[in-house]
Amino acid sequence: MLTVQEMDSAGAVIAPDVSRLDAASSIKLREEVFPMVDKSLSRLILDLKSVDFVDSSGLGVMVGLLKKIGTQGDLIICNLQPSVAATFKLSRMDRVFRICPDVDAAKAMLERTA
Amino acid sequence: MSDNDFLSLKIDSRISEVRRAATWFRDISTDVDEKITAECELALVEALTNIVEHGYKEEAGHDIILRIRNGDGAIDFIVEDFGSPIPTEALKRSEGALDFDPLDLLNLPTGGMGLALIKEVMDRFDYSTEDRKNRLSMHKSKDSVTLQ
Repeated sequence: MLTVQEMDSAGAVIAPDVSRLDAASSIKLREEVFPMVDKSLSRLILDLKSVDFVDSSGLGVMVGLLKKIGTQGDLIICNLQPSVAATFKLSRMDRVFRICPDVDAAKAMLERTA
Repeated sequence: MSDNDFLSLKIDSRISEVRRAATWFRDISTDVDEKITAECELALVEALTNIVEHGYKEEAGHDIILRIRNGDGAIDFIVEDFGSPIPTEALKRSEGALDFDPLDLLNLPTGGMGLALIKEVMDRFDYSTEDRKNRLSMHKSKDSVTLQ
């Protein structure tokens, strides 16, 4: 379900290979990504380029991931499709997450905050 | 417009069926503005997921009946099920579910946002239970995009 590109020992770009992050798929995302944080990956870029629908279940897993990383790392989300960006805004999650237009911008933001 | 204008779909109480219902909704609303369709799809998915997860506690084999009217100026949804009704407290709690402090990491919500999102995007939301049948109805005018 995931394409993972490690950047360094603590960072990775994670791209879910699904078009919908809903109750069905967000559980799998949680099962795959949370163990990565347990294994010391704490600077993550979540690339949502393939995702064109997110519901509250998907948002909940992303908030859970943000909480799990906590203050010891970073989570940046990028490549929001217009419908997904709308759901972030409707749910006020656009004020919670750091959001970048693409992976390069997300990497630059990670470097600035390293 | 009459009840005859409603199209019906019966789905089983499984999460995978929620996607089938969303696809069906999109198939019968191809003439509707994409932003309106997307907001309605979000509300529909939240409503059905809530029934599967909480009303039927993820137990398959129960009916959920969906009726949709794609009218001239509005879209109407009626969703009926026979599971546990949404508790009154949960309906009340949803009022403030999106009023969180975005900087308060510990208290950010990881759940309980579904009903709030429905109310956010739909013009009308009604919920009732009678003779063990729960009835959720939603209405959205085709010219009321929540996010312009």
